[in-house]
Amino acid sequence: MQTVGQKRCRTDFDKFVIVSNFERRQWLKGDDDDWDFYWASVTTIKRIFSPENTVRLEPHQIINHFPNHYELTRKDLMVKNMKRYMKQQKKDVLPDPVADFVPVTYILPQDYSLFVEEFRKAPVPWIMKPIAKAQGRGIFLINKLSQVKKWASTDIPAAMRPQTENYVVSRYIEDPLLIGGKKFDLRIYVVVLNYKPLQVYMSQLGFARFCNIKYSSEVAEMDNQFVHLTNVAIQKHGDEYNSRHGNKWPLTDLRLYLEATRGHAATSKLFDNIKSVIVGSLKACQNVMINDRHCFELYGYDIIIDQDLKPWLIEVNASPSLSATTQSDRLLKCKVIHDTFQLVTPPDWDLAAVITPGQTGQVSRCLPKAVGSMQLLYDETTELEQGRARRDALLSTESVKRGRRKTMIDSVAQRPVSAYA
Amino acid sequence: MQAQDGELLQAVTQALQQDLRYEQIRQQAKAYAIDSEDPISQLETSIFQHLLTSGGATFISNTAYAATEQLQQSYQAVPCIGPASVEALDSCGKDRHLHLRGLPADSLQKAKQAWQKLLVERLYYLQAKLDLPLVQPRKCKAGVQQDTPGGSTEPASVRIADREQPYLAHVPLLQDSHLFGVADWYSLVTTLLNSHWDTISSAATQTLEAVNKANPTTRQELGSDWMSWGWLQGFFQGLRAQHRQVGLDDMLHAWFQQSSIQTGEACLEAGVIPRCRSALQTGAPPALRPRLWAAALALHLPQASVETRFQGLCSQVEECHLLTDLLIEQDLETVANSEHFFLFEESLRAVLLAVSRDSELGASCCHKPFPTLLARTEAGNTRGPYPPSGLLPCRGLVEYAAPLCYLFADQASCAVLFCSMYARFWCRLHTIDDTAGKHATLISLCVLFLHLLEESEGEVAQHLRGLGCPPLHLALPWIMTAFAGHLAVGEVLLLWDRILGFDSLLPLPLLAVAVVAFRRQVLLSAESKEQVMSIMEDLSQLKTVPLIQGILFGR
Repeated sequence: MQTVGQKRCRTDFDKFVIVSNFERRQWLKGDDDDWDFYWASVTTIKRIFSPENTVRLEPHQIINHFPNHYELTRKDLMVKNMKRYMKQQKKDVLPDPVADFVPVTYILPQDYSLFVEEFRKAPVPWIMKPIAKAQGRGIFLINKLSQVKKWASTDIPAAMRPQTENYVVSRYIEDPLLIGGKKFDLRIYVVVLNYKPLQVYMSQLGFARFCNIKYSSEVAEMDNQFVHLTNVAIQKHGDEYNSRHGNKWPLTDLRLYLEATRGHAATSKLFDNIKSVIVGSLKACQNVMINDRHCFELYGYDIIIDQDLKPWLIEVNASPSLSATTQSDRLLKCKVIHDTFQLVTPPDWDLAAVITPGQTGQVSRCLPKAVGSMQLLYDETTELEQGRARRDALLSTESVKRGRRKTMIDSVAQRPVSAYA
Repeated sequence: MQAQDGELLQAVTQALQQDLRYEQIRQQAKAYAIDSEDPISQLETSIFQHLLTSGGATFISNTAYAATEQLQQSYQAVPCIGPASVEALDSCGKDRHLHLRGLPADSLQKAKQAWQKLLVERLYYLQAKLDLPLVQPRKCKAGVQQDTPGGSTEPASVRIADREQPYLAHVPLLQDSHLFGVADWYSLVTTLLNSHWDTISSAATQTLEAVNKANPTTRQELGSDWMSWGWLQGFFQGLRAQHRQVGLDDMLHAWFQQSSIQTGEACLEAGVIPRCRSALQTGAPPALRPRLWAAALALHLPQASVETRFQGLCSQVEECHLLTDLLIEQDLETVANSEHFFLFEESLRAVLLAVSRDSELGASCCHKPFPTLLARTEAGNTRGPYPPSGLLPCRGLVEYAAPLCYLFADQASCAVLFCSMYARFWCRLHTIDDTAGKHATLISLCVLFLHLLEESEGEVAQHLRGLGCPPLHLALPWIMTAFAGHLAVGEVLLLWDRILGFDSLLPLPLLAVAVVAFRRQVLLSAESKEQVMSIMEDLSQLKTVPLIQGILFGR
């Protein structure tokens, strides 16, 4: 028997940042299906939401992934959704067309011939990434077609080839922004509460992950992972790795540096563009995502900035790393997780508050502008409400106009039949 | 006063005549006068108007201001002010400075001698330990053209920035020995103060009483109620809550962020030095900070001549290694491990090594570096200071330069800015004398900190002393590093904005008192020295502006 107010929680990751946040809220340990909050791994999610699983989630249960999150977090599906979104944007001819924010990418082996055509246009390097792997494993750079011979069209149809062979190949960003001569990428934490309507928060706490070694676009250094790949899992093994700072630079420091060296206008534009990239990527998947009411998600966005201060979306991680490499890293991740919990579990979270299955609209609550380090990035409800208000206003004027133009015949035909006639 | 004004005028005229732009402006004004159709009686006013509109007046007033304020415009091809004028200015300047009362001159002298002895001993000890000469020119193989690194295409600054240079391989042998650091300063200051604290504090109280009783005219002569809250509040008018501050209001109001940028841009357009300085009193928007600091210090950055000179100094570093280079390298360890500055390690290495070869630095400091060791050739002739800048590297020297890397991407500008700031501000932290008031040096700053702490947080001070952790022990590292490495980088820069804006190091002891006052509850409940040290270890979440405003005006 649960006592009201004492929540039960489960986690598939025995990490300090999660467990400490459970403990500070005095949540009890749940088990099996007896839980209110579950910080699950993607494997568990697959199991819970698979058609074979007959057990449904209770209305009060909250879980940390959407059933088909891979539409955004798997490299090939993300690219597919983005391409479709960009095409749609161009067709709609909107007043502010969204600039492309994903490097040109092809899926191998399906798009091999398209890739070859593009490859031959310019002598730039491309980067090969296995679709289903993480932490930088299996990634390498290519500058010759012979290096991708394996994926060339053969007689075996693509569907019959083993899954592990699938790669994405993207145009490599050869001119990344360098600081101290080193390449970096940004890790930004984003919480999605709902896809429909889209409600997104972005954390002010992020960091830049640097390579140990100075960047070089020399051909000889193309195979040097320590120059090109910023994943911590890779850089950790370099000779130059210093665990005191872990090659992580706070986002606030980056902003301070860019303001002084590049000016206010350019820096504001960069950060606004980063926000547009995040919102754009989520809008692209809005219609394919199963918007389960029990779900929220904390994404780890990987973004690279080039020399012209343009952000490029590299990938979105469904399970951003919760291990801490330094003291401040641990503090940062604890705070991000804490703010996430605050966002998804309001203080008056009560077992009695039921989200009925048939309810289509969001339980009306005004989303706060900021919760801890999390700032409201995009709330579609305001847009929808504005749209509704506009439509209502339009309709009311239309009906007034129609009223004036009514002819005798129309009014006779439309006169309501009296119930007492 | 009259004689001093005359000397000042002479110095300013000399400075103007040495600058090429002055000649250009003169020629332009002359041409304007010839072409103008005004009657002769109105010529003077019309030329004056012309100078105002053409920007000539700004240039002249800036040069005059720089000369008066002894802002050495370093890295000019021609020195702005001749050495004779510098001395003249020095002497009239020093007479106007306040002095700390109650500190006898001979104890200062003794402290200086002891200090010099300590440093020289340590240097020779290090030399013996490492078994390296103090000066080591790059060896040339007899008869064979040295395979010069000059054959490579990289500039000298890149080569000297490399950690893997062969000479620096000796660093691990040093095993964390430094010439001097905060601990040494602490023992020096406490020895001086402990023996004379009664006289100092009674002199301060006497002065305050006398000042309170005195009428306004004699108050000026007594001069020194500078340690009172009233004087400080008057001095730091610019920090009053009525004036919106960058570092506080820009985070609360987006409109202020925009307007502060516009005000800053307008200031930079006009280019008048005193205006830029007073703009810094309320803080600089991060985007305009580099230019505002350069303007306030009468520097022109970035500039091609600056880059050439910097590369020249870097080549000098390559030509001849000094033992002090190893000390600098050891100091860089703190930077290499810091999460805020690790990216700038190489830039800082190049900057510090180049600056140590700059002979103009020692000459331009408002308080000459002490002690200045002279290098002699084998023949016995004196060659110059060792190292050429006159600045013996101490532990923590790099921390004055590290935040500057957030302002300029190029190393030459960082180096110039560092030299300028050291010459004007940080050298006062390495001086053993009794200057007080606005231009207070280390000892007066410590006295101010202790005095204010006693007045506002006497309970905490007593508790700390009871735990065996005197307040100065806590605060001296903060004051000596100007809070670099203790506060977040953005906050350090906001603090340094105020130092530049008020042209004084007084914000440092003020902020130290404010930090202790802010954490008073936690400190009062601490039960041991270790606990106190661990409480005060992490200041990274503190905000400079509200703290200083609180301690000054929140009474």
